[in-house]
Amino acid sequence: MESDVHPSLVMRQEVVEEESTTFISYPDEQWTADHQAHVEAMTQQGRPVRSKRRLLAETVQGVMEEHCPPGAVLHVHVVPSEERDEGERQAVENFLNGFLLEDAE
Amino acid sequence: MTAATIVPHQRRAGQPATHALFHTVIKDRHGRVKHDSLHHNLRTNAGADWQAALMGSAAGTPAQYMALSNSNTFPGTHPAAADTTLTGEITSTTDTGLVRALGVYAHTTGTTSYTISKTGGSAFTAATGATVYGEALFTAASAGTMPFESALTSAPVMNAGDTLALTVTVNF
Repeated sequence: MESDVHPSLVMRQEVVEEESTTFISYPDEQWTADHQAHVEAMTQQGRPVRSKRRLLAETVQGVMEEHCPPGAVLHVHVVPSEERDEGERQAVENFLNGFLLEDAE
Repeated sequence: MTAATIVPHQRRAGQPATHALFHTVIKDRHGRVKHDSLHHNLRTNAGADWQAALMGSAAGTPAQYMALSNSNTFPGTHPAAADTTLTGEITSTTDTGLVRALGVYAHTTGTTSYTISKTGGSAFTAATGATVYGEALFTAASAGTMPFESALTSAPVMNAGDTLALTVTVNF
């Protein structure tokens, strides 16, 4: 099923009374394009540039806030892809879960 | 963080079964919310054909591109069911940070909606500034089909460095 929708990210969302899965499609090329746009905007305004991974986390968080019900507990699973090896996939996944956990506290 | 007050949505009589809500949040360069609104969309006539093709044909193309307009013909003349383009669509001539761009798709299993969004880290960031009057979804980076279109009732002025987070929730 995951390969059918071709997401880069899958957020597993756990609510108190039920559990469901939210698929977020954010392909690497889109992530890269968004980061390039961010770098151009920040550079033009002389403001600090955020890392590509940080931008990803903020995007996921933004989607979560709009899409998921309040109180949902989220676990992010990054779908394997040809663009990244297992080590990188795991690193991104850990970073995202850490970012969301830190924000929730 | 300032949270938007979102009224639970119910479909109204005469409203298409497939319809969308446009949620727009604009923050200044310091992160302070200066505009937060929720608007119902208009599904265009072309949107009905788009929906049919998407559900019943391999020729269907998702509408994931988000566009903004700086035309004050919104909300008086537009949106209109016969619209096929977004009047006054912001291009790089107006503001390179507010041009049409791909949104992020999200869907939760078992629900009857999905969202397309440019929010959080991927929100629009104004390079020079513009007044935003209208918003739409498209199937392509340029031209393409415009199935959903919406007007902002209190056209917010964006200054350089302001961000615009847009989430379109499509219910079906």
